[in-house]
Amino acid sequence: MSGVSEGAETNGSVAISVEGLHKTFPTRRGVPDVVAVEDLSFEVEYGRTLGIVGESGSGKSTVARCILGLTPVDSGAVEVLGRSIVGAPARSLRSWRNEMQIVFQEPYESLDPRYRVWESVAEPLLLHTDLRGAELSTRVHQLLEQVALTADLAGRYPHELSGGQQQRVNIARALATSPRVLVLDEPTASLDVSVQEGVLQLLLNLQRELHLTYVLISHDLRAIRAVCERVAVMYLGRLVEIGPTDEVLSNPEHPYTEFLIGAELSVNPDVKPAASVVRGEVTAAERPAGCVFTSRCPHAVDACHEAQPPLVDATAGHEAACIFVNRERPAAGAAVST
Amino acid sequence: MTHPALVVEDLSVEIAGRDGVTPVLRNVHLSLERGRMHGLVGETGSGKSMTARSIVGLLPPGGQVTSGTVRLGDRQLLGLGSKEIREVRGASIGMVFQNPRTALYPMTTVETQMANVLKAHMSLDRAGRATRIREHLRLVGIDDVDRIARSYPHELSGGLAQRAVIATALLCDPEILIADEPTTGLDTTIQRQILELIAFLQDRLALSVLVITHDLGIIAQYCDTVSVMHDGRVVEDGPMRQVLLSPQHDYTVRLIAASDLQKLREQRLEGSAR
Repeated sequence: MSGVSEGAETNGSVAISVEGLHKTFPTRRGVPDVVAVEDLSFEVEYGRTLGIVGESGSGKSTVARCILGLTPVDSGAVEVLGRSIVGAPARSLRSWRNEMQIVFQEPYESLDPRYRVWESVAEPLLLHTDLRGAELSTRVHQLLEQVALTADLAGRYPHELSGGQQQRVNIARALATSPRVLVLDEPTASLDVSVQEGVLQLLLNLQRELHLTYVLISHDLRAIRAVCERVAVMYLGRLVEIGPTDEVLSNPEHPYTEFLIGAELSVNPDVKPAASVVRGEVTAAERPAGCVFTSRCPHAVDACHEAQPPLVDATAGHEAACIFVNRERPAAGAAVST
Repeated sequence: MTHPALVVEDLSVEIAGRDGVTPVLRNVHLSLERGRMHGLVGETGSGKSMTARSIVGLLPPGGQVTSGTVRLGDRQLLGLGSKEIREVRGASIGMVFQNPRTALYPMTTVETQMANVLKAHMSLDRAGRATRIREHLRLVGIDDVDRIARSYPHELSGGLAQRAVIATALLCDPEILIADEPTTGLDTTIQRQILELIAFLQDRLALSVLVITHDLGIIAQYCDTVSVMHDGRVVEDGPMRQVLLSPQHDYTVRLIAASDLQKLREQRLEGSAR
């Protein structure tokens, strides 16, 4: 439908660009501000998917909100579809929002419980388009079809739907204004495994049909492997590793990425998780000096406490922020510093 | 061989609601061997949590057992009076639920709530209680026990809160531990820490553990035996390796296939190779 020419024009060019992004949140007086995102840079090409993986407090959801201009940034540049999001007036952001949408984790909480399915899907069309009457109704039904919801569900309320169906309604809402960028914030985290597969399959199909650009925020490496060409690993607001998904997840360069992979529990009893378990827990309020991972890293040496290492190339397009990239790491625990 | 720590046979449960009576469990059976970990796996609405609640007599309003037996050792649990089943819950069966922060009472310190459990089930003086509480906090891998004992639940990280819940569940030396989605909602690396802790305690205390989960990875890596539940029934059960490596029931096959999302990944890789 939408031109082959547009696809050809935009292939390989950048849809989302984030450069040196900083975001802190103020706390009570006397307590240092919480650093949510620090010096973050990445790009996403048109029609591609970047996965952002990290645990609570890693800043991944803050990044999602900054990309869409839902949270003002402290400094740095964010460009989406060639427009600068940082410093853009609220009115411009609102008018651009039809081209960049978000799907949240909690499918039920994201829907108005008083709206029937068709009303939920019609709402963004009433706000952002001139479609009314029969045209509106045609478009609503087209959207429901696009997310594989049968027409008989149109009259139901959210509580009458399964979690998977609710999430499909949210996706239909997000697609209503024909966006080109979709941010997916843990879209399958609260769904059953058999339903997760269906929703991710739908997202892959939609991406191909509509040439969508995705940022998928997830803590789940299985979902990342399934749909993302590239993955960015965040820890305490820092990008610690980024690169092609299969490369990063089979040859991780950062110890934290290694631990994330090692903590995965395979459904095959013969594929054992890593024997070592990363110690401790970390909160954004307790930020170590130097490299953000030092307080939990078994390989940390004195130099790690001095400064945050920059991202450096491990292989082409695969970068990690660890001083031991391309160097031999000291054995775990052997390098305990005073 | 010794007889199992916990046996459930032919358990059927209905819930009466506005739209009439809905059967939620149909002839459920399971057996937890002493000192072993048994997994109950299924998706939303499969009846896995309802099975756990039936065992400990905590059915929701309108819930009624229509058939079956639940035996803890030689003791029949179904049909016990509310006072007796409460005694079983505190002393013979320890329980750990999803979301540790809501499992702890927010208005009192960890020490106070652990002391309340001890007051209800054991005759210890104040000093005896303080000692036992600290021993148990240490047992679950907490180092600065005094600080944690004095903390309120909101001051604890998710991982520490779940450790405190586990310490509380084990205070009265239960024979079995029922863990209902013990790591859901925790971060990946913390999940692993908590599972390793439960496995360690199982070994150290010769504890029998019933773990309820939607995550087949937990079953594959930690359980000795497993029951797969779907739509209120046990559709397949047996030794873990047998069930996961040569599943017989169609639902088990589908659940395993969906769990690693491998099919989608292959599709993506084919797509990018074009």
